Amino acid sequence: MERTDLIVRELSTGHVMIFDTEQRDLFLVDREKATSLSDRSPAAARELAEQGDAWHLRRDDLQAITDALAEIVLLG
Amino acid sequence: MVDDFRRRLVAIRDALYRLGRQTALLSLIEPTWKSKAEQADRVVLLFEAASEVGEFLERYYGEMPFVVRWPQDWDGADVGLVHQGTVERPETERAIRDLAGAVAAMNGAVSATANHRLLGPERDLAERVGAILPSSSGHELPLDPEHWRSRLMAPTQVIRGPKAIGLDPAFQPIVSLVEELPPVFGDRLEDAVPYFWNLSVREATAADLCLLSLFEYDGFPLAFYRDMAKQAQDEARHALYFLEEARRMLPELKATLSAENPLAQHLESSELLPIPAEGRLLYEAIWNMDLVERLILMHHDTETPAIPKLAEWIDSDFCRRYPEVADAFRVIRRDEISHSQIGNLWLRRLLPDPDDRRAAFGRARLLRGFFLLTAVRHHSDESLETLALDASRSRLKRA
Repeated sequence: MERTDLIVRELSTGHVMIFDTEQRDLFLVDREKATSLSDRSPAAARELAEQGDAWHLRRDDLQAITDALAEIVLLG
Repeated sequence: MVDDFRRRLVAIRDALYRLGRQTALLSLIEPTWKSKAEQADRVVLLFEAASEVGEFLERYYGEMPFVVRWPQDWDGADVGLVHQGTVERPETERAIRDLAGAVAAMNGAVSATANHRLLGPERDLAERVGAILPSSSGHELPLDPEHWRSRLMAPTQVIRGPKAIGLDPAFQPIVSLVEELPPVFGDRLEDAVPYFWNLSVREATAADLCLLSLFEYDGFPLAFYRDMAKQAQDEARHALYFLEEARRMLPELKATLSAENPLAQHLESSELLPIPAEGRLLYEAIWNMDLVERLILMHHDTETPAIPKLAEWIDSDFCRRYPEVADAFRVIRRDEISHSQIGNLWLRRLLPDPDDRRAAFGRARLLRGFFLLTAVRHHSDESLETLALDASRSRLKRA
């Protein structure tokens, strides 16, 4: 199984998600920009976010999104 | 001679499970619930046959445990899975046909050469396997396929399945889930019947979660793929049942609705059943999750709570008026119990440490809403960023 302290995954939306499992922060990088990242780490993603080239969702943001959509039943 | 039979049976076992995974891809892209259910039935047949051959090899030949895997360096192109996540159906069908014919040929050879008095079990096995296979084709199954030789490995997502799959033409996607929630079950026909057809889409997507997972992940014992196949078959059957039941009750539903009712007006002008704009109802969210997240958010957090809920519904006024629906709920509840057990079993095998499981639960639940939005994004003009900002600031236009 993949390591659980850092999750890097390509999404169907054209983003690469980098999830820092310690801080519970999520970074979204465009797939094209992600290929130029020297390492796909939260630190590298954080740098990109500071430059405006990645999108940073903090734990509180993620929780607020999940709370807002809690009534949607996932599957049958 | 004995080793020759062992090698042939290993090749047959491996080809059967490979056929099961290829047929799962076909079931994923089937355009109707009926054809999806039919293909899911076939997936189960193939994995059951692979399991029977596998157990025979263990009992008679002392074959060691193995894990399921695609061939080395396999990228899915030979089964029609192309780079951008779409499926070339003719290629998938051709690959299945060719492989099934090759398995049939080798199985036929086992049957024909197992003529020693002491090889009765091999003959019987070949007869049972042969019953689910087509006629032999001109293709050959490699006897000792290097690229299919299994070594133990950790479960790994080795390929991503199709990003887009079909929706039964019975439906018309209309309003987004973030704006309007689908109906919930209730005692009135105008609650229950729309609930049934919306539920049928969710059941089909649950089938797809299982089909996608058994296609994408290498490294499990055969029992995992049998479990995913069984659940896919159950869910596809449920999807077809709820769609057919909703259609059967439509005339009665229409008779109860007033002319001013928006649903009545829709049903007057269209035969299509309205569902959320996300259509395939969050398939893209599942595509974006890994297996641990799928097992937590579906098997644990959705299937398990459905078990007591179904028990309540069986005792509802609606089910007293429609006892055949109560019977269906009883069967479905039996199935959901098995699905919850399947999820629990494989989650514990993936994460045997309770602390790791606890952390995974926290992570999956935290990301749940984000994954839902990735599905919404595919059916919206808004960017993912805007959808997330609106959701995080509770600016959803919910009816």
